[in-house]
Amino acid sequence: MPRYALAVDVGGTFTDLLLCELETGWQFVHKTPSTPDDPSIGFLTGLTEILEKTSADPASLVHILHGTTIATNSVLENKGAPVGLLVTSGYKYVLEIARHGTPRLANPNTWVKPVRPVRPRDCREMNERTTFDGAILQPVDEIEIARAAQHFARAGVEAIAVAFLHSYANPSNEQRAREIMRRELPDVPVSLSSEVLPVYREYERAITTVLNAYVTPRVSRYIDNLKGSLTSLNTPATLSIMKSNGGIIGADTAVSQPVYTSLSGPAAGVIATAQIAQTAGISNCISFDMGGTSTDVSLLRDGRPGLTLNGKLGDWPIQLPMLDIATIGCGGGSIAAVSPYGSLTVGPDSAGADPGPACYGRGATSPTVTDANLVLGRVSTQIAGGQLSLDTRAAEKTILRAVAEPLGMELSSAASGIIRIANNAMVGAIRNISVERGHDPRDFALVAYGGAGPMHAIDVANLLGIETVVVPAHPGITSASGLLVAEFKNDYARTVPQQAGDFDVSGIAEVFDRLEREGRDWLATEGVPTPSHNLIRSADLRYSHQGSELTVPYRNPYVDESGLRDLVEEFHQQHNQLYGFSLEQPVEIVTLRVTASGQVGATNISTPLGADQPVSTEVRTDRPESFRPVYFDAMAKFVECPIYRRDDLAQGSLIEGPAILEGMDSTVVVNPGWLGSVDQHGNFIMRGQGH
Amino acid sequence: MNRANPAPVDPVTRQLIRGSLRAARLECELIIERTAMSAFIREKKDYTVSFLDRHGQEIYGDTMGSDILGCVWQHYPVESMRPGDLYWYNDPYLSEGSITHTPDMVFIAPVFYDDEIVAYCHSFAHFWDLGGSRPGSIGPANTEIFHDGTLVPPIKIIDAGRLNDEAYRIILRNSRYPDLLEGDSRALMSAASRAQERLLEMFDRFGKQTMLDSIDNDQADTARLVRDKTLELIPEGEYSVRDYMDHAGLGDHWHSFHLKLSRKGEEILLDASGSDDQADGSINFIASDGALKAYFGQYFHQFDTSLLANHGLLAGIDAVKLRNGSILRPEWPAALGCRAHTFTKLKSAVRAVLAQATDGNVMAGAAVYVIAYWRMKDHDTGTWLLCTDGIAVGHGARPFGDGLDAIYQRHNENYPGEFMEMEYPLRLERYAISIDSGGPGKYRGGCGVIRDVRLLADEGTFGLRVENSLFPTWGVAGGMGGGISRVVQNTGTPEEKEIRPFSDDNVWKRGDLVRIYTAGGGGWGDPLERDVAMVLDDVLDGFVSIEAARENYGAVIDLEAQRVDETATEVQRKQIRAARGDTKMFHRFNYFQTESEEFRWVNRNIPRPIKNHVDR
Repeated sequence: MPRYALAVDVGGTFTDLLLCELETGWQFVHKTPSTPDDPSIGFLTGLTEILEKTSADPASLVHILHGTTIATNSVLENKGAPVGLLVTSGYKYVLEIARHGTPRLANPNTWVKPVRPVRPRDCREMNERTTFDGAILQPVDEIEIARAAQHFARAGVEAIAVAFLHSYANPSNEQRAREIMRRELPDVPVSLSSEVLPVYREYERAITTVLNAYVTPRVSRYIDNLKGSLTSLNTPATLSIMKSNGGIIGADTAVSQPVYTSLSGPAAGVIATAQIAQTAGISNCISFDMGGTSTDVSLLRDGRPGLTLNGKLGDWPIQLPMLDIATIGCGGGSIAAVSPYGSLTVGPDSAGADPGPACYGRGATSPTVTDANLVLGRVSTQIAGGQLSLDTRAAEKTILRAVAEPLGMELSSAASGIIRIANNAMVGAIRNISVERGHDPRDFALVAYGGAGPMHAIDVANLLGIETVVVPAHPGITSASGLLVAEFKNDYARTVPQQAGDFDVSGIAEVFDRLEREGRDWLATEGVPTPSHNLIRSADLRYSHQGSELTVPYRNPYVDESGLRDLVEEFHQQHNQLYGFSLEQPVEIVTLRVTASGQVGATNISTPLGADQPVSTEVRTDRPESFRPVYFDAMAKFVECPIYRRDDLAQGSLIEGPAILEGMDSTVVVNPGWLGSVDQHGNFIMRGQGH
Repeated sequence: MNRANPAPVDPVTRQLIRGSLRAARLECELIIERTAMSAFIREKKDYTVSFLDRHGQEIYGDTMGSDILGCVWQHYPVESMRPGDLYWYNDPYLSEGSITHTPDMVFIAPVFYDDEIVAYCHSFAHFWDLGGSRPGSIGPANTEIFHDGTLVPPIKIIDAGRLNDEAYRIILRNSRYPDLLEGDSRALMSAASRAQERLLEMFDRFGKQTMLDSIDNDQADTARLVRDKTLELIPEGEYSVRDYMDHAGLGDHWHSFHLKLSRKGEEILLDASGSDDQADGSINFIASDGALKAYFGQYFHQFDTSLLANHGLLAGIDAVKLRNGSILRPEWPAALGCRAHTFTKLKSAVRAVLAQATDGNVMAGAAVYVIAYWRMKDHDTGTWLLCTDGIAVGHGARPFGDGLDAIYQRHNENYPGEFMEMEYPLRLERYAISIDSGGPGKYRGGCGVIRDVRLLADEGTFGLRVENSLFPTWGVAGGMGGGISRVVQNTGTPEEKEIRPFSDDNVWKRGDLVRIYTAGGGGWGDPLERDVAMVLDDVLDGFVSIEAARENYGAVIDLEAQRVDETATEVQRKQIRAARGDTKMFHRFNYFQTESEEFRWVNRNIPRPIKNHVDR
């Protein structure tokens, strides 16, 4: 009997499903509408449908891999549970005061402080104290905690967060607080800051822990619900969830650290990018995922995405390791407008799903990037395989009225201007993520997906000096395909400040050992066989007095003086590469980290999605399905442009720009001067010929 | 601005250039944030990067009307500049106030394209320590600029790509913390050089003439916006404001500045000559014409934020009158280190001027952000450690909502307690909202904070730069003034004593605790019109006490039932209204309509010199 893995990625509009037969790599794609009120409905509908369509037996499903936005949406839509917070005496207002800043570019006349997930009345101060080096100055007072429990019960609290000062250095006061809370309120889940984010900076640790508590009840109900349904479907499949760091974790682990899943969907897309790039023989690339309201970009060096500790979830900093993905508030639905003093802006306002772009014909009066694409012929009036028709007249009218006429421009130059301004915003963001990490984007290829990514990719590549653009076979389900190839992965960290020039070698070794033990234990519970355990050590270092650290891999197999010397040396090098200078000054270690990862044998699907074929050298000459006038900036005019059906192209197809490829879920624009070909994995690889 | 009629550039290219400038600035500022050493820059984020045109006028950035290049050109004429040069200064007097106190350092790089200067890049940050009377250089006790720190006149720190090592060593030698100084200056140099690269790429991409035309057009557009809105919102007439600084760090009398904006026909003048004489202490502020104009311009910029903040911000006001020897135009060598007291109130005063022109449609007065200099002797090494602690205050309520609680000043961030305790022998025992510090109003002023710091080293001293202990923030449109600041040592013990909030060389020893209460922002609108549900929330969350809810808001709250007693509230509000009468435009101590009305009251009730207003 064949065995299957199923990837389910829940997006805002569609739930994407991808079924893969483990032995042969054969894959089947299915999309079903998402059900935002209860995403498990869409999940199960899709599951039933894909099993029916493929006649696969539920009993043959071994793995279900899931990308979910449930934690993210709970935070963004303020739909989390009522939370009670325990803090150290004196710190009741840690969330209200935060770091006392407004966002850097915010106007203090108009900026409004976001409402915290816990109000001060539900933050209780406990008389307890730990110092930064882990000494317990004052243990917790059981009676005081029991009293807080009574308050929480009266206040209807459904989850509790504990964030005591310096608990990263010694978690025992927090652990004791949890024991007492469990005794008093056995059904209320408790999140400890020393488990969720055991690193220094009390506000960031507290808010992350509070958000974890805030989403726990909903995530836990959701997972229970899914597991129950899988059981009743008679499938033995294990359920795993994608995390923000690009790894997967078992559903039970996800319930205890739900905040770790907050960037689930975009992370899966980046993991897929790594796979796509690998099959296309590209080691350095930038993922470019342009959707309706925003665009996500990230940088992959030597095939590996970067991690950041400076992530955000809505208004809140989340200092958990997550894939370094930059989000730009610009997508197909971004609105173009002329300001009172005549500047033409695109975004950050978006037409959203309703009313959507003007061309959707739902009465929108503001032109969007999608309208501009339509007016210029870059997208067909029939999309989604004919399921949606677009109204060119409506698009033209809004662009004329809102942009072209006020600025005295031709319709086509106004429309192309909208696209160029949107692209420029992308370029700025891609530049920033590249240079922030000391790289030149010209050394990278662009991997474009998402509904609008392949339409804008070449324009963006031209501006960045990028010479290669890759569009995978099914750009609309990239995240789902990433789920299939992700590894199990969890991060463990402990802040252990080590004063400059005076490293405690055995202390460091001990902490690394402890973190590795935690990692191995977890991998074992996920069923990852011991030989596949992969444990990677790293450390956050800085020059004494610096306030942000660089994470540097610890490469030496032993923790000793020479290994630490190498670590410090690599820190100097990284600093120089990133910032253009290094200093002959003392270096300190702040946080030690271990990343534990491993593949459960059966999820090792090496073939990406696509019409995988034997390598062929045959060059096919494809005939366009039709022609239509399309405007290209470089020519500053409409040209009669060949239109191809993406699905008709096969390995070896060569397409010369100008050309347009229309697929089920996205459109590829091949600019003049670019040549595209289909490789044996179904990737469409375009190269600029002018360079 | 530079040319009356720059050639038009198509709107798409204009927007592409604006977008590229924004992205480039972000990138360069990120370099500073990630690589600077001193906590002042990286945690408090006191840095900026700006682009200036070939005339030294701002293209985009945060120079706020300052003439950054003027003093550089005096020493290094344009003809002498070469690609790869970098200029450095911190001299407030030579720069005529483009730098307003010595810790602020600027680095300037000329940008050459086709062998001529087409622009300048500018990086700026507040440094940790360079000379001066005490660790941290500036401080409340200083009386001369020499106490404020070592002056760096405009020098060429990098000459055509070669570091001027002699000058650099002299400067580093003058700091108590040369490592920090080196790290910070390297970060700023690196940012200026990246800014230069990015501008050159833009000149390549868009073409030299298009760039120059676009820059001129941008400045002209912003100028047009500011000018139009100024004329639209400010009717013919005169608008005067006076604000008061508690004292100058030494001496015991308050100081005030005076602003008078007058419009006659199309001509708009700002006269600050009615301000007091310069102070003996360090609160003097070298105001430049450009800076005062830009403060107003910044307000009008909100009406089209798609335009760049640039030299056009100065276009609202035709002329500025300042008086030499006044607190806004002090004469050499007056100390300037704590000028934040004066200029923060000056920025609020701009809104008080506009309040009169717009019927109160502005944010109320904001409190002056606080600095504490915690100094302690390290037991092991015998060296002195310095923790320069920036502390939040409350900001003014707005016509649409409450003021911001616990904000330092815009995007500047605090030190986490865990960071302070890890780095210094200090314990941060309490960091809380200061109840009732927000000015009552239909929209409440932001609350200040309480910060309790305990010394764990054997000995130490501390300096405090705390304002608003005598003169609180002002409320507007019926809103009331905010709560005042206060500092107490060893509160609740037999050794309890009040500490003068603006003072230095205070002594503390192991185990001593210093508590700072910072001031709140002014309220907006009549507090009796505040939604009682909002008052209840404030009481339950500890922003407003139950007594203040009753006295200031007329809201009677049943704490047990967690609800408002509607009937009692109605009665209470009626009584307050009858006793109080109508509200007026401003409130601080009392409601008042004009600054001269308040000035009379202040002179009667807070005569100068003030009798030692702190009970010791």
